Amino acid sequence: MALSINDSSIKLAYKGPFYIDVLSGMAGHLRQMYKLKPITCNRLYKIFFELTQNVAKYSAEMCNLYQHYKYGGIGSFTVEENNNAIRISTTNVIKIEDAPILVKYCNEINSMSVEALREYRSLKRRPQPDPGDSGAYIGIIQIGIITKNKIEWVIEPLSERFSLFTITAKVDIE
Amino acid sequence: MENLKNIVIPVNKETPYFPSVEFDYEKGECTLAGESYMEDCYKFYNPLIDWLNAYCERKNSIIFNFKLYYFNTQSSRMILKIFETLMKFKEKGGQVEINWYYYQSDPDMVEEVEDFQRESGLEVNLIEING
Repeated sequence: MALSINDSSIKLAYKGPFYIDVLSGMAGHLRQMYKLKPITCNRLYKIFFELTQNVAKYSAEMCNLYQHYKYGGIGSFTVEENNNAIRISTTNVIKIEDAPILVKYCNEINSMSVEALREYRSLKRRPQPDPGDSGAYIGIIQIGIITKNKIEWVIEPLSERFSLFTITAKVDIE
Repeated sequence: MENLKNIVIPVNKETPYFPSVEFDYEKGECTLAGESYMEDCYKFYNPLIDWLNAYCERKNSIIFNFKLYYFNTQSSRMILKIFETLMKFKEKGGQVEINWYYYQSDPDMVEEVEDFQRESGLEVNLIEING
């Protein structure tokens, strides 16, 4: 079921270009909101940037209004709190041909233990033989390591060329 | 070989995604502090790694302090490059001391640093600080 912005469980939400200064400001706000729970707060902060910087860099919908930013991917995010957990979700447009690659990758990450993910992260952060290697996946691996929870995702078709990709990370409140 | 110029990049509240940098040639001490999640990690870190390589050709010991309380995974690739540069220096007989400061409220950082140690083969002094 789609979340409404009026839902009281929503703590923070944004839709627009994911410029680094916007993300930085939002992350600062997030840190303020959860400063009394420092361990949770640190995890949220790290996950927030991994998720949102992937949108900034890889969204199929870009905003080029400000040329001094290198990345201006458009998307949305929500931070939702309920049942002693916080969920951060990002949504962005992807090319339809990228959907199966993302599904394969998310399934792969969800099938691994935290120890296996740490090994995988080590492998992925070595210089990659493919210079076009995006680096996006290492961020999702990191999310699995930090949250110790499975990631959730949904892909909805938008048109013949594009889909909408939503990925959610759950952080247990400590 | 001539001495290297020190690199000093102070904290800038306008751009908190860049860490502060103090690479001091005379003291033989380098410090990265703050946060690291800039858009172009290569552009920021490559000159630092070039400086470090040049330093390692000139001197025989180094202290490297990491006071990074957040870095994204792209930055972690560059941090690993720093570790690898220091490892090569050590293999050639250089003395290397690495100190990694982390907040008590960030126990996940310990695992992260352990992985850098495992990946690079270098020992790191983990130093817990309050906060």
